[in-house]
Amino acid sequence: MNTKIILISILLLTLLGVFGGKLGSSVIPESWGGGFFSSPIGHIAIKAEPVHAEPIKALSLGTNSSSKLVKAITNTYITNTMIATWLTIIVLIIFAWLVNKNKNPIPNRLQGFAEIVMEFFITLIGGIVGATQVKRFFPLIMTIFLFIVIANWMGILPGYGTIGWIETPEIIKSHLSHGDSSSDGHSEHDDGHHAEYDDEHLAKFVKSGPVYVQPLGSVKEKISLTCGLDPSHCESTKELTNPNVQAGRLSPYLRSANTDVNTTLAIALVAMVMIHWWGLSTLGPLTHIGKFINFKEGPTGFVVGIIEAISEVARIFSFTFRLFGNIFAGEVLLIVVAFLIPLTGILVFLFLEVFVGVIQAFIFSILTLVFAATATTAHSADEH
Amino acid sequence: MESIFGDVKTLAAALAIGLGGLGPGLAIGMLASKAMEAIGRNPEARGPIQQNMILGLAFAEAIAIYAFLMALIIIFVA
Repeated sequence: MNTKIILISILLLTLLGVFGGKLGSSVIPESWGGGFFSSPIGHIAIKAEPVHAEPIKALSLGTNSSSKLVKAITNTYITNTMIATWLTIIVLIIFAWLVNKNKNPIPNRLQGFAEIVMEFFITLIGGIVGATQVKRFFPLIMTIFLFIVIANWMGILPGYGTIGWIETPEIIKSHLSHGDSSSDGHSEHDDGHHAEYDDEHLAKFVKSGPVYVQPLGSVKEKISLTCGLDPSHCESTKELTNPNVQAGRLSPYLRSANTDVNTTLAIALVAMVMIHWWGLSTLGPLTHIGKFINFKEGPTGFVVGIIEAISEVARIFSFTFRLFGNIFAGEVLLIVVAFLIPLTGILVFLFLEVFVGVIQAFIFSILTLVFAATATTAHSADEH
Repeated sequence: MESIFGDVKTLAAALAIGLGGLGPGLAIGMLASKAMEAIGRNPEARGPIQQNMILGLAFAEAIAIYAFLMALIIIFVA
């Protein structure tokens, strides 16, 4: 009985979403009331958005230092993916503390859960590198898996990507003219004649209580920021004089950590450095480097060694972009589906994202393990 | 760049991901079908087959991800 009611209400909400969303408004003309739910599609940027308007030099102490390093550090922004990363770390620390608080020979539920996950990985690693080597590889593999999976799963929680501050046209303008945070990274100095800025699409926010919200059906009004050739002469197409209405771009406080290529590159670098450290310490420096710069087996061996070295570098990029691409594509997919079919259309894709999140974490950690296993076995000429 | 067909960049991005998804799609299909066959022949080996299949899927899927990245770069950066 209860499930029947839930199913019927989901069906009704879906119908409402189909007719009220952008999908419906392309079939039903707007004069008939189509598209009463949809707001404009969110701003999609590859670069992580900053969570404050000014670089941190405005807040920090070392502003007067002439050192280039200090300047480079203080001229950066704290981005939303950084905050998501810190939150992930905090969640993991709390989880570890709760599990370790009262360890018991007879585990309680939380400890049992942690033990199931750990044991799964211990048997998995043991199957690939042998049971005696598990202690060596386990910490990094488990850390990579836990960090990525928690970061991915936290990234689809409500609040990520939807709560933030409004980048007003003035702020966008100043970023464009300084060129330090133009989210699209235009290289206007390289090709002088082709320097026209694209139009920035803005959304309309209406004040309700202490916060601004995006109203339902605001997709009908199109506001955009046209800059032409000179970023200091940007103009909004529609001047909004109402003090309760603010045009701008939503810059969320939180965004899934792995949608920033810096996060995934950092994990990939840690993984590759550790893989080569394991290779060096097991085989000795000469044998390990000898895999890549190989004079013993004639010209063929030398070329194969060079190709191996190139593929080692390519692994960093494939690690980085596999994770980044999957999670970023997931975020874009969620935004687009929420735009096309509001209310319930997103449900199916949330399940997909939970699945993709754990699969990508698994792939990242297992590939690290497989590469480490190949790095710690000597390349022997006797085999062939 | 505007042309009589509209924005060429959009078309380029769509072609990049569309054609780039073709190969990995075929690869993933072949991988999964062979893995299913193998599990059907030898159901006890389900665990290792599944693990290796997922690893293979990751490599095949990486190519689609590169195409997706190219599409993103065409739209946002180029």
